[in-house]
Amino acid sequence: MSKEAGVVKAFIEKIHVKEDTTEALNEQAIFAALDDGESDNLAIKVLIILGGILATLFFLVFLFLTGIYEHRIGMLVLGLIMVGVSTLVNRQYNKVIVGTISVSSYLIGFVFIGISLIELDKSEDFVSLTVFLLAVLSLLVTPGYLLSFVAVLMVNGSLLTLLMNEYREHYILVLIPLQAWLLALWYYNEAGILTARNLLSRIYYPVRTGMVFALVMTLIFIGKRGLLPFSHAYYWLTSISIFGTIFYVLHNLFETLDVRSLKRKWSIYAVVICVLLPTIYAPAISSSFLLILLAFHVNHKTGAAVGIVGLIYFISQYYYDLEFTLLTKSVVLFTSGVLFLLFFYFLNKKIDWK
Amino acid sequence: MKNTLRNKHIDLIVQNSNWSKDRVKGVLQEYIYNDASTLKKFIVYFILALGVGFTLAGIIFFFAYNWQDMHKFFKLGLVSVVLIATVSVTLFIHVSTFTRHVLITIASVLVGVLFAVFGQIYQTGANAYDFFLGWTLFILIWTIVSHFSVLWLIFIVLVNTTLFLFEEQVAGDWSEILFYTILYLVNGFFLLAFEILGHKVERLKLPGWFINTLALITVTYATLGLTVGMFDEVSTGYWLLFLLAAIAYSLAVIKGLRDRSLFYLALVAFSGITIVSTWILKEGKSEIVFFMVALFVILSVTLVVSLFVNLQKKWNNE
Repeated sequence: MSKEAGVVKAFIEKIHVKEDTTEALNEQAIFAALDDGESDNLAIKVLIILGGILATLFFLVFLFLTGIYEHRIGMLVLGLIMVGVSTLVNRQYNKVIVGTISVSSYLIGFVFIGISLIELDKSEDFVSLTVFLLAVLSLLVTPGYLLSFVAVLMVNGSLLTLLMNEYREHYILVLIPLQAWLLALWYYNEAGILTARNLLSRIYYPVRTGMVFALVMTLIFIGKRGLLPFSHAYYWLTSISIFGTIFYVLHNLFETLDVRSLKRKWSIYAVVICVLLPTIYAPAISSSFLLILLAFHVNHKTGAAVGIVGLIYFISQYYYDLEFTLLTKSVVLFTSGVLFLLFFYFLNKKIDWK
Repeated sequence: MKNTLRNKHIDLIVQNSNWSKDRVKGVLQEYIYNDASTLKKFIVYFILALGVGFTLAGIIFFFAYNWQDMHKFFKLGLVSVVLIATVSVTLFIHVSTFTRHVLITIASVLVGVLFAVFGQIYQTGANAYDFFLGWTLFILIWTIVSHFSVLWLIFIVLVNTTLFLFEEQVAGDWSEILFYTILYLVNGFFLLAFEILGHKVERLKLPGWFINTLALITVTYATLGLTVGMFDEVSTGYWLLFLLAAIAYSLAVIKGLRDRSLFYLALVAFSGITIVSTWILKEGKSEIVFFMVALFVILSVTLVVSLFVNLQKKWNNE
């Protein structure tokens, strides 16, 4: 028996109540699946995704040099076939060996579909919607981990291009709270979704990681000033909804941290709102803070790492874009820094480290 | 069990049992999610990092503001006082080792601020290479003595910045291959030193994220040198870098196999695939070469990945 199987076996022996006849567990199936399951090593995943993207780029250069985009219908058909076949193959034969080839043919397929539709004089909205629907459809086929992850990014990307068309950009202010709220629900309903034992439970984990990257992808549009053609005067609407989601996360954190007294809860809410209020015109900052809290609570390391990188980037970008003199910026930064340090000192004294 | 049991195991059990939602929720909370003490630790250090980051940024912005009426002695004095105060706390007040590390890191950044203010007053420019060289040298001893990963990272970034500025401002006649070889050797030297040190003395082992970042930087320079250099006239310099990289990559593979970690192996594999792909592109005469590169990338990555999967199986079964 492998080490991994040993760990799982020990766990089952510890937790499975044999006397309880209502509880059934198929050990044989578990160990069989463990034996030929997909590898979940991060290095392997990154290698496959990078290789898939690289191969896609070179292949596209080749196709454009040879002038394939002249055959519009052929390209469309080929694109549909590539997306369909890679998804189905990935569902049937869920092994890392087919990872690179399915990721790149999936991506190339979508590029084909997009370009052929544009060449066929379809509107940008039509193209984005088609890609959106196809990506959702491919996700529902429940392919393996990597393809599901790429599909989520594709769904988000097509949604963003849809919003970037024809003065619809301000809907991004609604999209962000929606994404954040959905991500929080997804994170906290791990048990619920897994035990539903349906389509969603099969794609729970890749969708979770995909949603993390998708959120940061959307946040970039509001995190950097000047990317959107409207003023940031309405950003506070988005921020308020994000604050609400952060409170929901805090509420869940209180349970784990065993914070019971109402007085203490309210003082924590008050402190958090004081820290968050200055970021009311920078929802990207509060959203990445939300992501960090969520991901760290359920111990999702990728999510926490993406959140921290996002937070650092969005804070720096915010202060860079701010139209204050360096002196004002300095006073603001220094004051908040000292407040955080005092807060740290206070907490460090108060917390019982045992 | 908490650290070895992963989400995918819970998922497997759930899909092959009739465990209820509440049952799974309890198991996740007990075995996967972070517990109260880890969460508390994280929150406190998160606040500390924000505090240190914002305070330092505030200090830097304060001196970046062009003070017309502040006398130069006052300006230099102000930074020096803050610097001395920080170092004094580190030296004379009884605080934990971790706090000491954080304080000495702050002091190291303040040394840079002091140099920058000096440069501002005497118009030496804020991006002169000697400014960064001075900064690097002056924090060298603190970095070695504290042996704190964050400070080491700052130090490595400073060394690289100094090299880039030196190449830009002084050594204009360096060939690309020479420059990348120097960058590769300098970063590689630190990587090797840390690896040996960590191997010999357990206490001096630096955290994985730092070593991995440094390895990533080193391999990136070697890869850049070997791909960009390919398009210049082939010189002995190119083959020297090739040889040096080959030795380091072999060491990395040995280490990866010994430690049973795929990180080094994946790094070497990806670098190798990039170099060979560039070579195919360079040698190619027609458009078909792009198709061949695409094919090569897919095949080689697939091959490497299946090799890794088999290795993992083997390690797992031993």
